[in-house]
Amino acid sequence: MPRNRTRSQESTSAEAAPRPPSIEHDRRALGDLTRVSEMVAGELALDVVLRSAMDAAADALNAEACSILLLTSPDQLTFHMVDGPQSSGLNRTQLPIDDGSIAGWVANHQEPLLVTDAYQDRRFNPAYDRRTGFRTRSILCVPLRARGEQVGVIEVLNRRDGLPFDTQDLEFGQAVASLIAVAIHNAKQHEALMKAERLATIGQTIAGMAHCVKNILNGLQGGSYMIDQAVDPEDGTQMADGWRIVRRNIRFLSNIVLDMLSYSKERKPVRRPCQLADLYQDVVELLQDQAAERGVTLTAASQVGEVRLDEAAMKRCLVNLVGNAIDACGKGGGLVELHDRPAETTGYVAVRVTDNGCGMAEEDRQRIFDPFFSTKGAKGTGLGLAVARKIVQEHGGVISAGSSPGRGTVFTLTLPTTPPDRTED
Amino acid sequence: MGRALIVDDEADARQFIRAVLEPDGWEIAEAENGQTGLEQARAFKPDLVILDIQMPEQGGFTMFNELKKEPELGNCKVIMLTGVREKTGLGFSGEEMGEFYGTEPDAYLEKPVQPGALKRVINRVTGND
Repeated sequence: MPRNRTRSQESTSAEAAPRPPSIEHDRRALGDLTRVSEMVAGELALDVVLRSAMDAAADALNAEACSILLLTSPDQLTFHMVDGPQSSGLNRTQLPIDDGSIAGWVANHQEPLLVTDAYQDRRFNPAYDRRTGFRTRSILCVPLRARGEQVGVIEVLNRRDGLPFDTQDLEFGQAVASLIAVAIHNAKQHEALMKAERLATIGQTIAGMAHCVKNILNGLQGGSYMIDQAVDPEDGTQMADGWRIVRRNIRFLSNIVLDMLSYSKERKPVRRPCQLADLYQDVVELLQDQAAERGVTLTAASQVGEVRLDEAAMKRCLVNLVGNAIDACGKGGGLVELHDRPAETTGYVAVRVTDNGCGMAEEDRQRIFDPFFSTKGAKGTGLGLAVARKIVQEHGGVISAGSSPGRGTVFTLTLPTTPPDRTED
Repeated sequence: MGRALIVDDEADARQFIRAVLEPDGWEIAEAENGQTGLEQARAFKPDLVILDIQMPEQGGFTMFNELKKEPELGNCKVIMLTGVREKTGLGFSGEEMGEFYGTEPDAYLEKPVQPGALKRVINRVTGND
């Protein structure tokens, strides 16, 4: 993308005679600049800034029409605000950054352009006139730059007094453009900040609800347990079937909610001595029903014994991994194993979840830890593995996956047995 | 098995834990907050207290602290249940509690409570494994 620094380019047709400078003119220009500044400075909503900027620019430069085009990708501009007769069809139209139009040329070369007779200029693209029914006579187009970055271009068309734009208009236009560019830049920054704040607030709200939600989940768990004690597993009545449906969906809902709670906040692990064998047993117990429904054999064994970790968080992590492994086995049965051994690096343990299920293609394997990526269609929230990875990383560990289609999958969690900030247990 | 005191402000939660323990032969008493929990503990003399942390009137930590000062309840095992970490972002390790109160609970469980996990922890803590 050429960004040559050339002299300010002017039209190939006859040059317009510059107006004689006058104090009156300068005073008016200063007044106009002040008005432009007042109209755009202090506005923070992007659309409001763009609207004000266009009105201010058209006014200050005495133009019939004005457009602002914003940079929407490294090689593309988009009409963001268009004002003037018959212009509404152009809004949101995209335009490549190349020499095929005046605005494209200006963005490409980062130089302002004064075109006194549009139809005589090779760079002028009459297609937009054809779309709007407008007849362009002269054009003043200036790049919008703020803080060393390209923002887009501003273009004004047809001076109202019928004369073409001149070099004084060009100079004035550049002053106006620099004010507008800063205002747009600020508005965009503000937008980005608001978005980040909104996401943070959602995280806070979820965390705030968490205590209440966990008590509800506790109640569901408790009630489920009591009903399970009373229902014969062999019972084939509608009530027993209905109960199994409810129980399964309570499990789905609990998983989604617990994943969301895990994902929504940064969490420093609360490490306590934990027997891995007990942890695995808890995980197996939670997933027994799911495994039985699919005819999957679920086994767990620990060589390593006691480690220091955040048991509740690690349970969430393993439940997600083992649950996925069971789902990967499909309805025909299969084998899922949860086991560990000391890792090759001293002071670390390698926990592995293996299955002999459907496996995954390399392009999926590379994306599986991305939040909201799921291969399960409607049943997957896409958060399970993102949460698992978050938990492992918060423990100072690493998680990896090995797989091939039809041959099963292995997840390996390499976790420090001694927390990084303690030298002795 | 012995006597167990369940202290939690949620009636559902108390009923759940009762349903887990009673079949194993535990004699159960219940209380809604730390204050009534302490009164019950003095009268009932439990071998095991299952104690929720966040409760109105008097919370779990305070009751635990008071309980440990009681002369006749010194050998009582205490399991604390917590959902509080989510709300405050604070988690307490046993060591931190030990430093603060001079003594730690015998175990912690996070809500939602898994029945199997609860039973295993109880067996470990009461020496019944």
